[in-house]
Amino acid sequence: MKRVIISLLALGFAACAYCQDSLQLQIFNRLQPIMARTFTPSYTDVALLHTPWLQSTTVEAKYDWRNENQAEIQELGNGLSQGRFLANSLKHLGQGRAVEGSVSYLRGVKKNVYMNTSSDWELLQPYVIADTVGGNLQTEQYTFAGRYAGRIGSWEYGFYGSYRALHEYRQTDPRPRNISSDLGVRASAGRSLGSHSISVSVAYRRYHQLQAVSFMNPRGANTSEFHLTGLGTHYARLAGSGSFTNLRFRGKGFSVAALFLPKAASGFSAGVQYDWFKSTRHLPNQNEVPYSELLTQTASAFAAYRKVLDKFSYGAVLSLEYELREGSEAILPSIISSGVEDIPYLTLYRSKLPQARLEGVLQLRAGKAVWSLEPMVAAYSSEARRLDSGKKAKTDDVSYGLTAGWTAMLGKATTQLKFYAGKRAISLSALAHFPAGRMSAFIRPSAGYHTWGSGLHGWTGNIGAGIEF
Amino acid sequence: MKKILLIIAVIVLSGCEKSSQNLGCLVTLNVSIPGHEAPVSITADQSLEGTMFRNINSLENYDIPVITGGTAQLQVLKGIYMIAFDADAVFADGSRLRVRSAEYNSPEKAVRLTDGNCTVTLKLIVLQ
Repeated sequence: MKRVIISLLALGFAACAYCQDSLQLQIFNRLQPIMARTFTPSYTDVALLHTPWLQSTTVEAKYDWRNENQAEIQELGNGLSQGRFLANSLKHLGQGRAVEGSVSYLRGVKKNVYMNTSSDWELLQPYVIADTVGGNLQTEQYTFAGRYAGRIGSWEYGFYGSYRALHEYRQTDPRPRNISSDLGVRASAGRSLGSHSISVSVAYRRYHQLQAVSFMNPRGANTSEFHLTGLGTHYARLAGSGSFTNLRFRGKGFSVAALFLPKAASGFSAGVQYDWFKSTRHLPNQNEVPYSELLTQTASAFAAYRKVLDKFSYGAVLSLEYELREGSEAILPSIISSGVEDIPYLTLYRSKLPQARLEGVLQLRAGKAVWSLEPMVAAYSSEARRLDSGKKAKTDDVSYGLTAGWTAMLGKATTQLKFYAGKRAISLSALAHFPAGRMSAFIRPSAGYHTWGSGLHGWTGNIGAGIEF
Repeated sequence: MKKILLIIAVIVLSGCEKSSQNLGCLVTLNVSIPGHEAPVSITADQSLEGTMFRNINSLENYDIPVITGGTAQLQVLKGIYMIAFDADAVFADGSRLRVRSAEYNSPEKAVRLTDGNCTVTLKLIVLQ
């Protein structure tokens, strides 16, 4: 820990001459891209012990906006308007103990969601239900998370727990009402070895979503609900607007991870993680019969190096990920509600998604300012296939971009400007922290433009304001 | 760069895929017409809406093959199937009969074809 603090003090050498406020100094140090860039994914919780910030509490209100002339991902809609409240607090308690907690509340509207009636589409796709009418979807979400890490001699340990509750609904036909809950716990253990820390973690996850789609128009239903099975296929037997529009998702999963972390600001870090998650789809009004399973396995790894020096700092991260989704579908018996046990399953859907990403950071300190460049190149190749019919969808892409940044202390205020230009996207973001008594008030607006095809484009924007102390 | 990164990702991380499974069922249809000798051929009338070899879950239909010498084979996805058809049966002496298969003509009566090889015996009735 001492090394971390010494490194940070060295980083903030210029700021010290101009700013007596340790909070502003900490903010200035933290905002520098070489420190802000996530070099170490949160694979384990002992990493909390090695955060360079001794104490930080942030409360923020945020507004997010997105508008696309045609939805890039139609299942998520072509627009978004949402407000968020976020609070996070981290504190090193001394004697090698640290604690962190966060809460958030989100309320908004997803606009023109189409061909998806379920919530948490990214997690459950393609085994969701859908209709051809769609519409705006009201969304409301709470999250709570807590983390504790400690040290006993050279051993380190940590615990983490999180809970997310989501409620989504629509007030015109078709009217889904979806309630999700997502619980996660994790335990970590590690050992301090010289200048590095090695740790492992085991995590468990439980997921649940209860979904009911209703039609209120006295003239009758304006669409059918389709129980999708990938690549345009569906359980034709269950399609309709009556008996099978209530469903339940049950999911459980686990993760194992290992992390190699430097104690100082500079150094080499690496990690691997494996996630296993299985969700099953049930018909609650048919004796809870399960009729499809989705198994998602994800292996990810990263390697990073960061060198923090007085004037010139640099770093790079290589991240790899491979996701495999396999969908199995039940051979439902003649009378569905009788088939709770001994239902044969066929694995009929498989998708593979390998991804790779290489990011770098170069930063130069000049007086009270830090100038930075953050190049990025990423590639993915996605292939989905129906194993019965041979239907296949394949896409791949490579993207690249460069972020140029300027972070400076102007008087006692800390400001940052960042401009990103890349393949098919540009964005501009700003941040200003102003001292306000013993606290710091901040505001951070950003705006972006992206395109994904001829004549297809979208705008995004958000603005956040809050305090830190 | 893209190809190198993807190859690395696939090689390092792709050890978790399931081995392939047998999705198909080879169905042998054995057909008899009580009170009659085995017909030379039976050809289902595919023009009728009620003619089906239909998966009750996906509602996918398979064509019913010409049944020669009282037997025929077809490959289907494992599942539960409704089988129903009207057909023309041709006998060795050249005579013809209109016959019907109706034993498995509704979801409640559907036949389970979930093994690699399945045999279904159809007793056809003669239409007047």
